[in-house]
Amino acid sequence: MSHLPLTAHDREVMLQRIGVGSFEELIEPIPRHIRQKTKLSLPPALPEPALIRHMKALSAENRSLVSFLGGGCYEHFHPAVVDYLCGRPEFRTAYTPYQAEASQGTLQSIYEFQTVVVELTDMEVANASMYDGGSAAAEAVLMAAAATRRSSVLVSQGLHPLMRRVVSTYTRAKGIELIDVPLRNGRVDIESIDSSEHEPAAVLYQHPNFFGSLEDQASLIETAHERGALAIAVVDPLSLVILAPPGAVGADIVAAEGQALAIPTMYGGPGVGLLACTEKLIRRLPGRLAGATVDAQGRRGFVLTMQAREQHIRRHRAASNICTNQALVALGFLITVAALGPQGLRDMATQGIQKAHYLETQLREQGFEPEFHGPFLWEFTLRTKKPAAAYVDALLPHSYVPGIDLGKFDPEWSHRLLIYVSELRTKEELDTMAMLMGEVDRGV
Amino acid sequence: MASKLIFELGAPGRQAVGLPELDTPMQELHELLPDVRLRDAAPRLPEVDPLELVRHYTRISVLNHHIEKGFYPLGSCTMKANPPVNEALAGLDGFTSPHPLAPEKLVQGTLKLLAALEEMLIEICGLAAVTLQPAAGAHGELTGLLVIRAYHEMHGSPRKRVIIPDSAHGTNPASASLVGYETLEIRSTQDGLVDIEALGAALDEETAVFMLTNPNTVGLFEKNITKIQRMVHDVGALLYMDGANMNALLGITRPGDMGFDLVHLNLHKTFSTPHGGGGPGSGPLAVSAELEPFLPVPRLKEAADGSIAWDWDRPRSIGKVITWWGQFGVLVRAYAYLRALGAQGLKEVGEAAILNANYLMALLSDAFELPYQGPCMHEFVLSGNRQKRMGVRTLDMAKRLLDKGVHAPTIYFPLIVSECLMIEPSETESRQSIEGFAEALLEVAQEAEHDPDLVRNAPHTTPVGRLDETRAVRQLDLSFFSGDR
Amino acid sequence: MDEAIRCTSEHEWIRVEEGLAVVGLTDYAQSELGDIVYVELPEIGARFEKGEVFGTVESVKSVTDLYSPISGEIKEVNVELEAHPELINQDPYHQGWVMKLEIQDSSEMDDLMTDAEYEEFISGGVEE
Repeated sequence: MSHLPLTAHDREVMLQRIGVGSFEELIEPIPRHIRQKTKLSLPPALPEPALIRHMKALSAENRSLVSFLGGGCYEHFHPAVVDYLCGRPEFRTAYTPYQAEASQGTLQSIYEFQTVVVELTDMEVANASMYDGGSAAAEAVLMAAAATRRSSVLVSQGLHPLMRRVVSTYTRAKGIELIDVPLRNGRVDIESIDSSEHEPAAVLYQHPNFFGSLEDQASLIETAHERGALAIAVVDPLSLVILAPPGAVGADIVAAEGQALAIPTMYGGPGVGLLACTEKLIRRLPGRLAGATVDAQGRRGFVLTMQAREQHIRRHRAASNICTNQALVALGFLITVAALGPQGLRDMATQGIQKAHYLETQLREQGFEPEFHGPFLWEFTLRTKKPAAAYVDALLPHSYVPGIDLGKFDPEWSHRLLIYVSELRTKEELDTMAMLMGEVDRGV
Repeated sequence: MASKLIFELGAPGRQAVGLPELDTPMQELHELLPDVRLRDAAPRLPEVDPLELVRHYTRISVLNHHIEKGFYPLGSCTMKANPPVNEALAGLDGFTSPHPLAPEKLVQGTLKLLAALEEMLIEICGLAAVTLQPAAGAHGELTGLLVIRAYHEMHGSPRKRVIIPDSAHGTNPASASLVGYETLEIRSTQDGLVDIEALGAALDEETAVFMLTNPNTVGLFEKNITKIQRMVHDVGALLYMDGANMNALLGITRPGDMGFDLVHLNLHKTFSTPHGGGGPGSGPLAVSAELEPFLPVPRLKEAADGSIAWDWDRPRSIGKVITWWGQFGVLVRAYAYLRALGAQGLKEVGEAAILNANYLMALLSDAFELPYQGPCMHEFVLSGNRQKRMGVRTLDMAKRLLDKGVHAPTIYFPLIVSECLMIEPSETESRQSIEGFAEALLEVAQEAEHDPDLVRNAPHTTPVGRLDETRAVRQLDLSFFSGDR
Repeated sequence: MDEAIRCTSEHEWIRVEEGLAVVGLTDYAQSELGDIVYVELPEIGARFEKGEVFGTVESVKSVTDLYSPISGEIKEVNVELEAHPELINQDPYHQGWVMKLEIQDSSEMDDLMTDAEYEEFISGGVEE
């Protein structure tokens, strides 16, 4: 059976209409010496039942445990309605809204998404989304460098180390220098921004930072502005229902990973990058923008707008080379927010905070100390007596992953365990986790 | 009736989905977060009931044209059928739940899938190594150019220039700029191919790479590819293939065999993963052995015990291009597609894509100017010049097609063809469906001649009429509450 | 058209007023571009050589460079265009002017087309 619709009869009719004797004539322009002589060496084709069996077996090789892993990718309650609606073929199998009149569903959803991002961040403008939080942060740095015509950027050491690597990869060829801003007790040492000898284009910080600590965001931004630099905030979108949003305290650009409110952890992808800025920076903002307008009869409709900034028109002078967005994941973000509403989001955030603090108290009772003593939300760094890896290994047989061994990122952090507490963790799981951790120290 | 926005529905206090009661002791927030500046004004977010939520997104969804509704001949976008089984497979709990930093021994299923996908793509490209990390085609280009820069730097100088044909995708020059290269555009010949003389004149010791789409964006195979690759390599430059049009070549020829040093693939085009309204896509990059050391970290490697692990010890790597490891949800669908088809199935894809495109071109060639004579590969371009002389532009014809229940082709691209229509039917369309589209477009051509206003004022049957794009820019409205700020 | 203006093959016009050279985009250019939605203006005090790009104009689907017809220093820019780029469409030769230059070498004007020559140039089927 062929998986394709053309029958032998179809082929005959078609070749005749084209006016050639055989398919071979159609590929005449492909020189013979570069043609495939033998079949590609690929695994044999699997009929659907065998494919399903194979994929189920493969997926079953993954083990799912009670997890305290976070570090930029977060498990949350994911309402069933989100995948139910995102799975609609009208959203899933459409392409980029090139013809606005036949793409109002996608365009309106992007406009609604932009509105949600603007509301959460309290910024003036948000785009249709970027690939992920890391690439959004990188593009934010490029925006700042172009806007200020400066070429060094102060980067908080509290920025996610992998995001920092993305920023570094994106900016190196442009000659942008990244200068580390050290932390003191797990928070940005604002003094060192003030005293930096550089003329920074931007100060890039994460709040809450990679270690879970909350920054003094307002002072940080103020200091950045005093240095003539833009302030770029990397945030956790859920935190914005609790914390003062970056726009309210003067941030110029906000970049975020939106996965937590959009899609399961999926081994890290796809996610969705949020990127928002002040109105002043709008012409530097990369990526798509959906805007409201009207048709000839005055009916509201939505189009991709300000496209003359983008690569298909501006080519080598475009602000970025991006030509897509993460539309379907952005839709997931939008529907999650709409499903939970302001109250549900607040409950989700509050429960995460309550549970994380409950767990931290339980761990203290087991004799552990936090690495830093500042305030945190749902993620914190624990100081461990043995290498953090030992606790991860010891808890696996109990089907628990107690957190991220930060030694994987930096050998100096080998005795730090980054613990994320989802609102999905039950009290029982938190008690068990703390007890198992304590047992590792006691050598039980 | 224009549709309402989610913000215009519902009422304060409504909520579609709630959370369970907290099962740990509740403490006051200000005690847990002393001296932390909290939010004072709540964000204006939707407050809707469950049915309202589902209705709203169902209602707006049906305003979209999509591949499961009708023909979608966007050139260079390869709008092929998306196998439903792959949706079910990508949703298996074992694939959706792993965390990217889970200990490797817990995610062997995922890692094996990724390794096997890399192997299959390596074979399809005829190159030495693949990275699955780039999130989209343009992101694959960016990754490729960073690799190219790193390669030249290692040989003494990053070089200055990227050469592209004037028919190139806009992402090519934009990616080049992002990596700090100048772009030099060379003209195409009357036949729509790379002008060998112009290329020869442009190539020098400062050329970092020649970026070429093959088949190119007018749907022709660059038949001088062997000569081109020799010329490029003779000056020490690299040859990059924009793999947007890879669908035509499946099972027929491979980028590596043509002499390309690197190529990005678009899994959402060639390998059937859904386009999602614009993303997520995936743009893996395949490279030659010489370029492998520069690929992004981490790389997959097989341990002595046969298990798969990540290798971070890659001193010459360009670094990272996204935070995690790639768009796994897209990769798993592409993997399933390849496993379902096998080598023979893939070969049939390439052949049917070419046959369908040539057939459609034959059906349309009397009514439209044909800038380049065939045979074409998987797509072809027409010019609307004849209709423009009657006062009907390609844009008008595109809008009129929407009235006939099909999507318009890609228009005004490539830039070298005036009033361009770029048409790609893909292999998953039947002969009848292709004939149906041809009939629709031929009708539009007739209307352009006999009732031009009908076409100029189109569309007439879509949810909204032609939208005022000028107003959208002049009176920017990018979020619902922006007027209230 | 205006007797006093000179035009470039890139479709800028130039006219001397009170000792300064006023520069704008020709009527033909604005009609080919369609609705103009944004004008990127140069900074006052910036210097441009003849033929150098001093700004850009954007329509909905295009972006076009503006080339300085002669060399000189920018003395004034039409800030009205920031809020009302449509002035270029509505009144390209007067309210839609773009910038004023201090003339450095008036002989540079001699190379430019008269309006009659420009009319002939654009009717010669020269496509944008």
